[in-house]
This record gives sequence, C-alpha cells and structure tokens, in this order.
Amino acid sequence: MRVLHRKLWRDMGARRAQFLAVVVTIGLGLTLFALSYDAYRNLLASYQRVFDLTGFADYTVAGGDTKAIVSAGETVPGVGAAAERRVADVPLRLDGDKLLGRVVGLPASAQPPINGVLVLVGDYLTPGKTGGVLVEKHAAEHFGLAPGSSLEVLAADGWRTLEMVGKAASAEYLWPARSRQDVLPSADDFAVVFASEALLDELDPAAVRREALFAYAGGADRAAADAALGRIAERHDAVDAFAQVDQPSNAALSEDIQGFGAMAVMFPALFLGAAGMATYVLLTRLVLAQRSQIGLMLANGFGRGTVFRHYLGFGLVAGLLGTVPGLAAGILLARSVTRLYTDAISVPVRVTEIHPETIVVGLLFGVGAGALATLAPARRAAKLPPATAMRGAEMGGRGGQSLLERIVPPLRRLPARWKMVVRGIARSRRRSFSTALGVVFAATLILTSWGMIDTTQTLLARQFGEVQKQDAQVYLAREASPAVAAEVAGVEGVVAVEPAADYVVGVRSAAGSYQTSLVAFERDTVMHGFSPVSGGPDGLPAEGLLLGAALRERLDLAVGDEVEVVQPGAGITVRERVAGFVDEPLGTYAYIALPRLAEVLGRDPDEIVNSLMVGMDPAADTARVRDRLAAVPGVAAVVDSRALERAADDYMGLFYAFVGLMVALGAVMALALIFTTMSANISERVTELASLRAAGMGRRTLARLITGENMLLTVLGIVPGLIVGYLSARVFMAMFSSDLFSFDLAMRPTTPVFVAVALLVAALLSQWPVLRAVDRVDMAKVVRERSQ
Amino acid sequence: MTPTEASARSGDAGLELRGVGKTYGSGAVAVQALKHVDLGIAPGQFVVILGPSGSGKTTLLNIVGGIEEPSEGSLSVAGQELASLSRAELTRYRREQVGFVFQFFNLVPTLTALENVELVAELAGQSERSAEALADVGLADRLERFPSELSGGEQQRVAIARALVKRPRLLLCDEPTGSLDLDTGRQVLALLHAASRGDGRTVVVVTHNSAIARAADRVIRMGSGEIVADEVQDSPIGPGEVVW
Repeated sequence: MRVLHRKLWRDMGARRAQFLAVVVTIGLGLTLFALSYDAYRNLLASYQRVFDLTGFADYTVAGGDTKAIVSAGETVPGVGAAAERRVADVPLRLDGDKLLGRVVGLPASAQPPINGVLVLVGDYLTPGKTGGVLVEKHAAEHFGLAPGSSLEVLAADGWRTLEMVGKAASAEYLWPARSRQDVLPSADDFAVVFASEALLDELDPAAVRREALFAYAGGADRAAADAALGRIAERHDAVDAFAQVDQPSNAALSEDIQGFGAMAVMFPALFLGAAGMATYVLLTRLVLAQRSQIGLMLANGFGRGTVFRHYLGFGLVAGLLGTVPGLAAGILLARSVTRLYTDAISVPVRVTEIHPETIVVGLLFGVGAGALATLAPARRAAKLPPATAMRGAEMGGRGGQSLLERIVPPLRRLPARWKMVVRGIARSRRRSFSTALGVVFAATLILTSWGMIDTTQTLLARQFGEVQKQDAQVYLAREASPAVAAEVAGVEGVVAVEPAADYVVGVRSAAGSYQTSLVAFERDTVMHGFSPVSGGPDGLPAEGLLLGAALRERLDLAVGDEVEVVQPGAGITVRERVAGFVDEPLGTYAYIALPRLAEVLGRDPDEIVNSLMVGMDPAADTARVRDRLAAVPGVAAVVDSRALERAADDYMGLFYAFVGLMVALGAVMALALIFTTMSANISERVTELASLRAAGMGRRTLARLITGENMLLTVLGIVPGLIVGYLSARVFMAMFSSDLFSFDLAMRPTTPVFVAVALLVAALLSQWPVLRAVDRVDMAKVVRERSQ
Repeated sequence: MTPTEASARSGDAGLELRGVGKTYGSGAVAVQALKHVDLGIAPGQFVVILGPSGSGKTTLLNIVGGIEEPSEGSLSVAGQELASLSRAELTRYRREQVGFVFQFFNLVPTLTALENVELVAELAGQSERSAEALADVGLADRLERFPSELSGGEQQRVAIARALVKRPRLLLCDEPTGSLDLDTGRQVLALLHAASRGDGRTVVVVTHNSAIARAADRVIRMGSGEIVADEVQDSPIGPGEVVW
C-alpha cells in the first residue's frame, strides 16, 4: 500500500466518529433511495403485470350510444380492440350485511379481450349458469367467501341468490374504488362481483349502464387516441369517458405511487445533501489541520494533482463505504416494502426485481456526493503555497461584531463569554452555513413527513366530522315506500333521519363531462356540511348546484354558469346553474337541494328519494344498529360512515409507517450532521478552549458556552428549515391533490413546534460526544502547541 | 524583604515541590519527563527555568499550574497541597491563584482585546479591572481591537493583561517571548518583571532563551527531567538590557 493511502486510512481512523457519521448519513440516504425507488419500480411493475394479464382497458366510455361509440372507436388509429359490456350498481347481501354492490358483466364463454379477470381460486364463469359469479378478491377475503358460498343481489324482482364459483382479481379493482368520488370505501360497504352478461338482464335496468372499452395496439400514440375517443364519446352523448390513467382504481393508485416516486427522489436527495455538508465540513477541517503536512508534501516534490487526489480520496472512500452497504440494504428492504405494500392493498401479482439503474444511479449519487463535497477543500489543499502551508494552521476566524449584536444592540452588553458564543457563529461562515443548511434539510425532511401525516389526519377528521356528518347512509330499494323512513327512524339507536337522493350522473359543460354523484339533501340538512370556496353560498342554496372545487378547472366553470346533469338510466337530464363550489377533502360531488331536484325533474320529492341519512345515538353499538337497519324491509344497503373512517385510517397505516420512518431518519440525519460539524468546530478551537480551562474556566461553564453556540446555530437552521419544510409539505400535498383527494396542507400549529424541539433535542444529544471530547482535552499538551 | 534577599530554598516558600516526578505512558513506551524534583520558590521571585526541548521545564510549569498531575511526589502552593484538591478545587485554584501566558498567546479571535481580558476577569469577579489591566500593559488605546488587528507583541501583552487581571499569586509563562522579536520581547519581559517587582507576585518563566535568564532573580537549569543547576542572581540586569 502506498504511504499516502496508508495516511488516508489513518486520517480516517483518527476522525473515526465523524467519518462514521458521514458514512452513516450517506448510507442512510442510499438505503432510503434504493428502498423507495426499487419498491416504487416493483409496484409499477406489479400493477403493469396485472394490467397486461387482464387486458386493462386503455380507454373507457360510460353511457351514450355505446354501440356507435365502439364502431367509431375501432377506426381510431392506435386502437387495437374494442368491446362493449354492462355494469350495474345494485345492492348485495353478504353474510346478512346489505352493502353497495357492483355487478360487472363478462362473457360467460371465455375471458373478454379487454378488462378480463385473474381467477385466483375456483373457476371462471360457465355458460348457462347465470347465478354463478366470481367475487372480487377484496370482498371475498373480507367476508371470508370461498367457491360454493352464497350471496344475494337485488334484482329487478327482488333478492336473487348467487353462488360464488371463484375468487377473482381485476385491474379495475386493484384498489377497490367505487368511483372517483369514493376511492376509500370500506370493505363492509362495497363489493364487486363478475357475472355472466345474462345476469345483467335480470337487474333493474335503471341500475345498469353500458360501457365501451378500448385497448390500444403496441406503439399507439396514446394521447392522440385518448383525444379521438374523447371526441367520439362526446358526440355520442356519453356520460363519462376516461383514459386508463383516470380510471378510479388506477387514479387512486397513481396518486399514491407518484407521491412514493417523488419521495424516492427528494428524501434521499436531502440525505445526500446533508452527507455532502458533513463531508465538506470534515475535510475542510482536515485540510486546515494538515496545512503543515500539505506544505511538507508539496515542498518535497509531491505534485498538486497527487495532493488533490489524496484529499479527494477521503470523500470517495466515505461515499463508497456508505453507498455499497446502503444500496445493498435498500435493495433488500425494497423487497420487504414491496411485499408489505402489495399485501396491504391485495395486489394479486408481485414483481420484485433488481433494477440495475438503481445500483448505477445510487453509486453515482453516493460516491458523487462524497466526491463533490470534498472537491473544494481538496482543491484548496492542492493550491496551498508550500511555504505558507508549512507555517501551520492560521488563527481560526477574524474578529468583528456579530450580525446579531448589530441588529440587537443590547447584546453588546453581554458578558464576554456569551459574546464569544454569539460571535462563534460567524467565525467560520462556511461551516456555520453548512450546519444550518443541514438543519434545514433535516427540518424539511421531518416537517414534510409530519405535515403529510397531519394533513391526512386533519382532512379525514374534517371529511367525517364536518362534511359527512351522517353516521350511516341507508340506500333504499327501488320499490321502498315512503314509510321506510319512519321505520328507519324507529330503529333502536337511530336518533335522526333525513331523506336524500344519490345518483351517479354526468356533469357536462362546454369544456367536457365529468362523472360524479349528484346528492340531494333537505336545504336545512344537518347531515352534511358545505364549505364554500371563495365567497360561495353558506349552505345548500334553494336553487342551483354546489360543485366540488376541482370541477372549476376541470370543466372550466364559474359561479352562474349553466351545466347539464345527465343520468340516462334514472331519466335525469336537467340544466342547472352553478350556485357555488365547495371544498371537500374526499371526492368531487355535485349537491342540490332536494325540493329543487324534484322541481326540475317535475316529480314528487318522495319519488326521487333513494337513500336516508341516519344519525345514531353516540352511545349505541353501531354494528348492531347497522344490522337492525339492514333488517328493515325496503333497505337495500347500509353504508356505515364510521366504518368508512376506520377503513380510511387503516389504508393510511402503511403510509404513516413510511412517513414515520422518514421522521426517524430525519432525526438521525440531524444528529449525524450536527455531531460532525460540532466536532469540527470544537477540534478547531481546542487550544482556545484548553486555554480557558487553564485560566480557571470550569467544565460546566465551558460546556454551557459550547452548547449555547451550537444551539444558536441549530436555531438559525431551524427557522428557515421550518419555512422550507412547510413549503415543501405544501408541494408534496399538492402532488397528491386531484378531484379524488383535496389535500391542501393542513399542518397542526403544534407540529412545527414539535419538529423544532425534536431538532433541538437531536442537537443536544449530538453535544454529548463533543462535550466528552472537550472534557478529555489534555490542557497541558494543547496549551503549548498550536491548534492541530 | 526583596526576593533576592529571601532564601530560595526556604521552608516558608510560596511554592514547594517535593520529589515530584512525571511519567508519560507506561511499560516499554514510558517516558520520564520529570525525575524526583525538589524545589522551593519564595513569594515574589522572578524565576527563569532554562533548558533544551524535552528537559521537563514545561511539564514542571504545567504541574505547578495545576493543569497536569504529577505521577509522584507532592506540591504545595502557599501551604496548600494540590494533590488533595478535587477537580473543581483545582479549577478554582487556577482561576484564583494562577495566571498563564503562552508562547502563541491563545487569544479568542472573535473577542476584542478588552473582551479577551474580561472573559477571564469575569471568572474571578474582577471584570471592572479589565480596561485598567490593559492600560497597565500599555494597550489603553487598543481596547476595542480584535486579535487579528494587533501585532504579535500586542497580542502577548493582551495575554499578560488577561493573566494579571485576576491578580494571581503565580504568573506562569511558557516561552512568552518565543514568537516575538527582540524589542517586543523586551517589552513583554519588562511587564513580567514589573508584575513580580510591583505586586510581589511569583513569576516563573520557562524558556530555552538563556539571554532572558540574566534578568531573573533566580535561574533554574533543567536537563533530562532533572534540575541540573539552581542559581540565585543577586544583581539581575533590567529587562531593557537583555539582548538575544
């Protein structure tokens, strides 16, 4: 081994704690990168595999003249296949529970070319056996159904018994979203079955909608095909038309995975940035301490390139030592994260691959971060004039009043020892900047993560506390009499009942069409809260529609514009003015006053009511009340809002775990970085500190001064860190926002305080080894030498 | 009684070392820096300890200053045994009774001359004397200058003011003129001399510069960790006459 290499290793050994901190930070960054990026790619691949296996539709059109749409669509360049099918939203009865159901029609003879299913257990449908159905995976597993199990569907002439012939997975229900408005359904409330087209004939025609499905050929210009099919759909009066990316399940998963993808890049970048800062600080200190050695090397004929490479090696080695195990750990953990994730959302196919680009990009970034951080100090070392360098270290820092003293003149009257603390910040501006920037990174990482948790929790609480105030929504059978409302009101545990109408409709404007639910309430409803956007009506207006805020842009609407609300199956086609927009966390609905809906339809309000909003006694056992409600004749389905809230919380579990990990790693990063910079700070001033000890300054006083300076530096980083973190959290939440979720950042006021305290604690903890080092300083040795 | 009149080896010496030894390391790598040193220094003496590098003179100074513990023997200052002091008491001893002056000044670069002195004066509750201490060393017009704005000699004078401001019983100086030119060195030497003469303070200067020894009341020569010569000078020259 060359002597210079030996020196490099020994230099690292001499600063092993700081060097280890740098290596650990780089390693954590790379672990996080490989873990999240590989898991992200695995999930994408898993979804894609299911899409490929089932022939997931590239474009779907609902309603309108589907036959004509299919015919016209087949001629669109890039369209490889087209098909028609029927889908019905009808109540199901499973294990005594009445819930919202969806029957998806399939050809009984063979799998369809588009939107087929993966039969996981049992057999595919059999021609002639109309009552044999495939139950979608989520429902089958939730209700513990197996081939042979019975279930019922509300057919046109009453409940019809069906037999489960198999358990199936579908690309359309990878995430069991009922609609774009209902992407977080509870498995208690919604189930999908795949049945022979013949069964659809037996269902209430009003509940059945036709769909045209299109699959693109390889190499198709997807954007052009989407646009062409959209125009065809519009021409043939379709209620809704959407590309694969907007399909409810896929859209929900995409929102989730895009956030994952963004985190896979941004969070590791913060770590590598912090590691770079720490490496820079460490090497700058090393070069300063080794000035005389550098001078000696240069004076003895070592080339500047050799000196440059020698110090650059420090960063390269730190990068490599952190990157290799970090990447390996990340790649291994990615498999577990993929498994956890696919299990959590019941993805039937799991693809776990090693992605060479993860390794290449990881190595480049990890080693690059180390090398980049050492570039400047290594260049400085190589450029030192030998004679100057051999004089050894220069006095650390110049004098001058600190900015703080200039801004706050009373600080000038502080005791000298506290002035030393205040001025210590400006002593090595680059290092102070690095420390503060590292704290900014840590604050950003933690606050962004925490802000995401806050927002999700706040918005879910708002959705289920201020917007959806009912405890349950009871869907009525078509033949139900108005007397059902009175019966429901009489159910033990029910304290309030309100009639409502809830229809799947298309809202059309000149700019396009959007499928949603039109929900009609009594004007003085206590079951729903309306949060107006920018000065809209406070509550449900007597006339006009309240629309979810996302439709403002999506349909290019403003208050006062007229829109068409279409539901061919229910015979609804009305034109109504937009009275305002509402801000709701989940979904994008249309609301109208029940009397107004009856008026524009020219029907009696009792005729259009198809559901009841129910308030329960808070002390009641909701499960039992739900059972009692389901037992009322004329009740087709019961949706328990509290179960929905619990389900939403459950869905968030994995997200919370991931974000929680980020918070913990952010704290570790802060700890490692602050430790490294503080150590450099102290080692540079060891002579000065030893002199003060020799002059009779007690250990505690000295510890207080050092801690004070480091805490001040941490605070200087925390303030911008909280601002950047807040903005970053906003950007992140905006990435998740769409018509499915409205995730405006809702950070609790206490969160920045907790983050600030957490960082201060991390900084305080990182003091401990530094103060121990100060405590161990050999005064006698140090005071007779220049700072080394 | 002037220091020169006092018996250098008197039993009532302000400072007394009995069989003091110091060994660094252990086993094969053990280095004996001080070997069984017996020494008494009377209050008010201006003592110069001479010796080549490695002779043990700085180790001796550090032990007297309470920043290093002897491996063997005992040491008392004004009758107080240092070995019996706890760490906190040793800190108080340094704070109240010892002033250090180092070759490289060891000033805090972010504090002005006045603040550097105040830093130590505050420890001893003497901060009101800081400006006066600087005036005493001829720096009344340099109070607000930062170390980087002062010459080497001025920085060393700040260091001396810092050491003297708390009125220590002992002023211990390690190569105080080592980084200075002749004129500046003489000025510093004069200050140390005055500290001894004016205030009756014991001043111990460690140096390898034998020229300085001529200004001392007593010259102790060390070699290989031992005192090889101990000479009292009845007629030391003035600091201004020292030449090197």
